[in-house]
Amino acid sequence: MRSILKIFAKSPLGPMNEHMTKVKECVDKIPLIFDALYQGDQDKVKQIAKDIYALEHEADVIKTDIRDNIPRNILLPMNKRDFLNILSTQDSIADTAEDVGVLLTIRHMTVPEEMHPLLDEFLVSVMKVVNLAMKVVSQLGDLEETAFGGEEAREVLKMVDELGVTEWESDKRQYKLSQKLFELEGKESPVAIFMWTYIILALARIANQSEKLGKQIRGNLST
Amino acid sequence: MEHGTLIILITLAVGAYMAWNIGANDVANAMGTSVGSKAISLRNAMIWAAIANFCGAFLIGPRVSETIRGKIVDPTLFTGSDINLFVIGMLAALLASAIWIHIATYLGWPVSTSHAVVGAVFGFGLVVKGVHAIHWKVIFNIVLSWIISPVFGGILSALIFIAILRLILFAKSPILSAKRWIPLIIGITTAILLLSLFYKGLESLKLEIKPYQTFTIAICGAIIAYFLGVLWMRAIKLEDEKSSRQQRFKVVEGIFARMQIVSALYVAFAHGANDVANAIGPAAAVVQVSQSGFIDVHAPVARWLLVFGGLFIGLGTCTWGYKVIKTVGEKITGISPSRGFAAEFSTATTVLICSQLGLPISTTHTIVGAVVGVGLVRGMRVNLGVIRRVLESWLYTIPFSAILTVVIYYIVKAIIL
Repeated sequence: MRSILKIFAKSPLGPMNEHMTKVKECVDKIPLIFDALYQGDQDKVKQIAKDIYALEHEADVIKTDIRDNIPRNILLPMNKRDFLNILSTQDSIADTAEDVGVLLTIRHMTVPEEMHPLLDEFLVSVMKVVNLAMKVVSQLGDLEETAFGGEEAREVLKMVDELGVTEWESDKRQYKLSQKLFELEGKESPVAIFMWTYIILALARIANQSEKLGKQIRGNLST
Repeated sequence: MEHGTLIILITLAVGAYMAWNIGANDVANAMGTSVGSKAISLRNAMIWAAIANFCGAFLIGPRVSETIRGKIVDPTLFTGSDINLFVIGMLAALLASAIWIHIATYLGWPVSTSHAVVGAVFGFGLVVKGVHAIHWKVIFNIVLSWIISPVFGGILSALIFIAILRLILFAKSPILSAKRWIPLIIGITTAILLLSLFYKGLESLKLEIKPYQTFTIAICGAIIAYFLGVLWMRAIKLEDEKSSRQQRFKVVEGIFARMQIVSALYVAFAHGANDVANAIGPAAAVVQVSQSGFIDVHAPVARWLLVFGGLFIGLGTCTWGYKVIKTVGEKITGISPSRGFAAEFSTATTVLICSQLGLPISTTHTIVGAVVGVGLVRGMRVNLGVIRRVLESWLYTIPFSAILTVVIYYIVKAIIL
């Protein structure tokens, strides 16, 4: 009798959501760390970078736990490789958030006045992409219920499309911000411009990886 | 036969143990999920499961019992004083199966009582009377049914679940679709239930039912069930339709949780119909021969034996089964009521059809097949390692119970004769 119980594998979606929540916590620190930077509060910047570092580690622990606990011969409602890929994409978002924290602390950074408005716009758009991606991932439970098909799948498909558009908008903002940055050539130190290039790229990577999450889930929909 | 009374008493004791065991362990397969989803209380689940099991055992039970009693080994080969060998053999088969089931339950192996009994009777016939005593065609059919029943259960459950998905869960407004389609689903499932129940008549009640009568009953039952379903659906409020999708799925699954009570009882009924034979089949042979002094293959299985078997199965459910039901209910979280309904309904139909055909199959294996079937439609997490364990359990159950039967046979023979 006990044996028939073994036929029902535990859903990996619970831990997956837990991981996603952790990743979200990491990314949510990004606007805060920039606020601190605007205020020139270096201690606070360092503190938030540390927080991100700690959260990223927690997310890593959950990720490893999920990977270790997926048995080989289990039939998941979605392709197992896709499932693990989604997990690793989620994880890479946390990694990149950590990178931003590192980039803002290895050198004493200040935000050039001219960049303020464009940087703000860019940050808002990146956060919008991340939030939307997280919303898509949170649909996995309902998708499981409907076997990844039907109206639910169509709704998720719409969200994924929207995600693509949002990411494209954040790309445009990134372009404008970078243009502005290079206009500062000669005015700001070359090292500062070099660092900002990296910071902008890291932020853009967060948006890209979020979009990738949506694509990976889309591949599993059966509409 | 001076040991007649003693042998009957021993047989009944072992048969009672087997029946108790069957009731204690397997009924939980059916009721566990409904208790888990809180659609029914543990107490009610236990009582109703016991009643359904008893009814199945009493009404449909004789068919499989007859197979085990007289169709695996040719009883006509046992003439004259050989009659005693037949009685001892059947007793040994019963004892060996009971011992094997006891060991397997203790170790938590997914063995089937049906496989144990068939293996036991087969082993005894082969050793005592040789290759010719075995009805190979019957054995072939039984083994074939062991393969077909999980596969058929799987295909049927997949089809039912696909229908539920397409009609209800895929819809823009699942609750509205549920209100529209669930009465129809109830009607069709009632028709299938009645067809599989009556198409061979009810032997125990001496009720012969002709095919056209069966169809009439099924259609009338379906229509009544449809209208009851319509009434029920009227009571479901639509106001939740505006809430989140997640909330709406909850309402729909709540409906299926209720339907699952019926499908679970259907499983309990089919289970009683098929598995009572594992306890009563060999016992029926022993009782018939010991009482009349000759082997009569055509004598019906004594009704009091069926009642006896049914009662002990019910007792097993009430004295021990509730614990198993509780564990199953607490542990099964991986199956939503809509999937559970599809799996249970197809399991019960498969098992009941096999019971009507007199084929002793494993309810547990059919459930495993049905669950895998639903899992293949996606949206469920199935541990495929279980399939391997089920196949393994076949490989060791049959030789073991066969050999054990032969050993017990020679021991009892040495003592008595």
